[in-house]
Amino acid sequence: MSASSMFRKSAPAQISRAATGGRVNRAKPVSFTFDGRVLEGYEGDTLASALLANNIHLVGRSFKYHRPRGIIAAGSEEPNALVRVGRGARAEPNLRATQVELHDGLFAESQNRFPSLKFDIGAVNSALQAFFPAGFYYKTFMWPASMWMTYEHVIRHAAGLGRVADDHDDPDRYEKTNAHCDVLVAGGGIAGLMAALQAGRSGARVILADEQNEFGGWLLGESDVTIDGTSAADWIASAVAELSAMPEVTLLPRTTVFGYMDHNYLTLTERVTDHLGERPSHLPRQRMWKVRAGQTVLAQGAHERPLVFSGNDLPGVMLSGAVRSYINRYGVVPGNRTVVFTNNDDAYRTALALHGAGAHVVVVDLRRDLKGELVKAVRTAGIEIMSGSAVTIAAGTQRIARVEISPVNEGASAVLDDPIHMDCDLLAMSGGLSPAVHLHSQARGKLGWDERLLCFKPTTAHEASFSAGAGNGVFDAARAIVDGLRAGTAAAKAAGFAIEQGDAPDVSAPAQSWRPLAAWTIANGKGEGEGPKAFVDFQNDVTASDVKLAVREGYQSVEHVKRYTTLGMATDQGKTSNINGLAILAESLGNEIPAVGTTTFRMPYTPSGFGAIAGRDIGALFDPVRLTRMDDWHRANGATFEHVGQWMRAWYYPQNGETMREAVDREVLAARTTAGLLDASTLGKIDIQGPDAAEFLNRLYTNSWLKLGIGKSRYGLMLKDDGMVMDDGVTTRLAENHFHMTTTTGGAAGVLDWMEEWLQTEWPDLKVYLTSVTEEWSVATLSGPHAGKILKAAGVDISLDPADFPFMTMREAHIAGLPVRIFRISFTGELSYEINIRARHGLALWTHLMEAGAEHGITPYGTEAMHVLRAEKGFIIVGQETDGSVTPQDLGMDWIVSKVKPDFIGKRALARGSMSAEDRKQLVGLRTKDRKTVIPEGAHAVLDPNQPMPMEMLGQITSSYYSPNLGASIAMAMLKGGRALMGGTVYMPMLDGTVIEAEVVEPVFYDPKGERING
Amino acid sequence: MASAAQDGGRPPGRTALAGRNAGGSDSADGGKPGLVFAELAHLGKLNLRGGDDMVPAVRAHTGSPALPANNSFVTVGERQVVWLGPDEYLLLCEAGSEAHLHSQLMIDLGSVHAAVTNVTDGLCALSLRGPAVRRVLAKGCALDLHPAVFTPGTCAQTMLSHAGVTMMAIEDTRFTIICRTSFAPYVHDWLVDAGMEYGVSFRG
Repeated sequence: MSASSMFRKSAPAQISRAATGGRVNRAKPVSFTFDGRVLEGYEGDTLASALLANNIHLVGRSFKYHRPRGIIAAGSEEPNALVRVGRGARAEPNLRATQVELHDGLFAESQNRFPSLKFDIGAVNSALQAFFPAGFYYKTFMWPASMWMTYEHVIRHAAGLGRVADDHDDPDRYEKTNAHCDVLVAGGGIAGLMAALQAGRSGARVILADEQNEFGGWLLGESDVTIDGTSAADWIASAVAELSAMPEVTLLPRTTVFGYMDHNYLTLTERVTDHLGERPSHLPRQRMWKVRAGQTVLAQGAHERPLVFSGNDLPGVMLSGAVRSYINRYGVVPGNRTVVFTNNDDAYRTALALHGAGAHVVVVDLRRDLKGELVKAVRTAGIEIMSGSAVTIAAGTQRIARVEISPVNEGASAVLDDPIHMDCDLLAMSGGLSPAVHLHSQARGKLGWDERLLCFKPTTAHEASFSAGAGNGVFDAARAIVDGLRAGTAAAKAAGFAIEQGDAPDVSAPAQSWRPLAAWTIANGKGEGEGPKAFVDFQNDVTASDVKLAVREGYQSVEHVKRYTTLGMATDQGKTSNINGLAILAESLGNEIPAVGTTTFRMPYTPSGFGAIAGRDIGALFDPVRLTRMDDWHRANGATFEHVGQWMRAWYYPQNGETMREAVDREVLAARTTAGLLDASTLGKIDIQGPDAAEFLNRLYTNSWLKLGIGKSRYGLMLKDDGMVMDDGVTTRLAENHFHMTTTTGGAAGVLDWMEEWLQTEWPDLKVYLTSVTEEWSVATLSGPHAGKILKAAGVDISLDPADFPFMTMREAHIAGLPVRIFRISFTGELSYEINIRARHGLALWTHLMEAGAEHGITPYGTEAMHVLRAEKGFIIVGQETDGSVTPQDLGMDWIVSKVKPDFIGKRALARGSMSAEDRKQLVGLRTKDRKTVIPEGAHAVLDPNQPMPMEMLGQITSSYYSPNLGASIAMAMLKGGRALMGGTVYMPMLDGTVIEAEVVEPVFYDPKGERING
Repeated sequence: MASAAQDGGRPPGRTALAGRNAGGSDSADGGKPGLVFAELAHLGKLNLRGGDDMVPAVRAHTGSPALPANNSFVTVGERQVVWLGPDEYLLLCEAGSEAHLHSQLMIDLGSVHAAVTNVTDGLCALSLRGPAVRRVLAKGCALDLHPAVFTPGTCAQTMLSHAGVTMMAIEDTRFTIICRTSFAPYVHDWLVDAGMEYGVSFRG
């Protein structure tokens, strides 16, 4: 215990902390809280190492049986030690305690327990475990089917894996960024560091990412490796220093490469400030990197496998390499009376580390013929070795307390003699290593089974990728560094950089065999399925018996067994369990492991928070809001707004507490009695130039365009090649070879693309150029009987006499000295001027017109009044009356389809027989029997409201408003055979049981003869 | 409005970001902001569509001997010709010169099949500078913005977050980005946000 911790009253002693050693900063004690207890660790600890330093092994309850579980690993593969970190809105569940860096004030809680970790009601599942075999939920809750919703609710509540924050507004900032590099190195252990150094020295742009807080990987947990005559730690420090000095190298510690997509596109999550108690506000908490890499080096290392024996999930049963890491890296000795249980040499290094830390050690080795340097060293140290033996049962309540050890046959399928009993508080197990091939496999790389090392390792890569080091099945440090050098060289060369491989640094490490003995399940001397459970998948509580049961029930495919037993389906994706599970499955099927194959590896490598994936695509930055240049006025004058695509358009302008209906009525009436002013700036506008411009329009629109006079405007309807209405608008001939087209607001971009496509792919011979000028012009539409008076008052410098400036023409003019284009076109049926002005003057024009019109009753109106006004006149809106399945004929607009033009887009499709079928939906007007009742838009019409359900639908109401000019409701509808129903009655049954009755009429409700167009 | 509109004395009109206040965030170390940006108010912009037969007219009015190659722009004095697509260019010119330049180009192009369109008000140009400019832009742009790749003189039409932009590298630490005016407030807000890490300053 350090001096400083002795004086801190709140924290108990770190009784399992060694007096010296480790990479933690003993000068910086750190106080943290776990399940309400204030504890102490050191800077450099993970939550897991700090808990172990305080001799706390029990850290969670398992998913299904609520069994007590402890820390088994020291890295991201940890299946058990899932904790909830933080408070309130910042609480984050399911973090691996082995990856949570300790900082002052860290607040963590165990999960999956109620009411407390030590006494958990759900553990009754464990007592009833015989009744919860694989597929239990499938079998039990299938019947009756109607009850599944209830079952599911209860099951999910009982199961659950952590709780998200109660307040779902995450207060933290997250970012995303893009990055490009020649070589991305995933994993900064000995191989990854070497690869990054080599690629960096070639001058390549390199990104080196490692999920831990410092580079070095497992090397950080070894005390018996030297490189070029210096300690591993010194070599790591010099390698990182060299990389840091390279301007083209980006070092990303605390960064997980979690996804590997096509074309060497990879996604990384960098935990920028998670490890800080006080987080600087200018930095994101996490940042997602979207990396396009020329080449990748995958050096993610390997995961040690547990041994599958009865009681192997007790707290205090840990992976051997992890135990060594806690001793060497963190200065924590996780037990005093220890058993090392292994099928390979590597665990002997752990035995030596435990022995060196003062613990009592017994080695239980499944192998019989033991030889080699490490075995000799262990014997020399006086450590007892029990060869050809197995831990058959581990026992204890909330921590391992004793084990039974028996001689077993080769493969451990049979117990050969009575067990001896031994007390212990720690069991370090080693079942061999599995390369972390996740990224290689996500990118569709192939795997091969290594008969000697008993693991899958990468063979052929699908992407531009090189695997290296332990992740490539090269476990030995001396060979891994060479493998990293090779991969770094190859990647740099493939990226176009010249570099010789040269010699790797000289690595000295204990000589050992990396070949484990195949012993996939350890017999316990009892019958199959009897005795304590032997777990394969700790996180999902899948036992060896579950896998065997699945086979007995007829499952053969690994993908099916996975889903039936949930093996490998937990948040750890089976990092420690998949190979054991596959091997047991293969054994049960009497098949070879490579023939059984692996399940699919999917991103993310470890769980990644949605925050980083969303980044700043939230709130106002989620989607641009486009405002017109007159927007300031609308806002200052109390407008309400509606979204039209990305545009925000003024919807209506309520005054003095008006309701929407009152405001819209007032605006609609004004446009027909005095004058209304509409901001029409969002209309799409396309500038069309070229000698073939008229011919192009002639092919694009259904009507004729060749003879349109200069300065004249024409309404046009555009069809898709299937004959369906696509867009409409007014186009004006500015000069012989120059047109100004308008489109709908929502259709603008699509129409321009459509036109470009025809020009570029179908009619490249036409000399026509298109340019979007939607935003070059601001548009104020002045409409109503007083429109002319107001324009004059505003100082327009041309004659507005209809003889000089007739309907459907355009004049260039000035208003108050500023040049404008005025179009005499009308979407209201009133005398109307669409005034276009350079956008910089849009607001000034609007304000000027409002001032000039004040004494003439000018009234600003929004999109809602615009809709009512056009509906009174029976004008369609593309996208409201039409839905991509409506022809001009359906709309009663045959008049706009030329019968004489040789061709236009959609002409051929219109000639199909079905296009003139009498039962097509056709546009009609509806006159409600109760003239005040406004039909809800979208309502369906039927002929007989008393018919049984489901009723035969005639069609839908597309537009429906109250018309203040008529003092009555008006509606438009698309009804099957609608024209033939003219004068008849249709019914709209409502959800509340009422029925609205309406007469089918012509869809023009106001001024059918068009007498108001000249004011 | 009327009083300001005398011959030769038209009001300048509002820019896309008129009303946006100068501001931003300090750099964390209290030093100069990593990104400083401002609107290039009323920068003249003419969209050109056409082929190589436009070269004489373009040369006469910009000094550029040729049309710029793919994804590049040419700067001569105050004017820049920016490649937008295989037959599309953007001519940037001094504020207020665009109308005259437009008519001059039309005259010089004569019977050449080309289109010149004044898009000065439809587009907003921003000038960005500072040591963090590329890192800020990389947060919203998938292109490789490394100074050895996106060299001075390079341009591209791309996305900056959710806004379409034309991005031009003027110098290693200086960019011009051009967007449709209705996207300018979004681009402004996005830059202020994305630059927070390095400190950002908008000169309104």
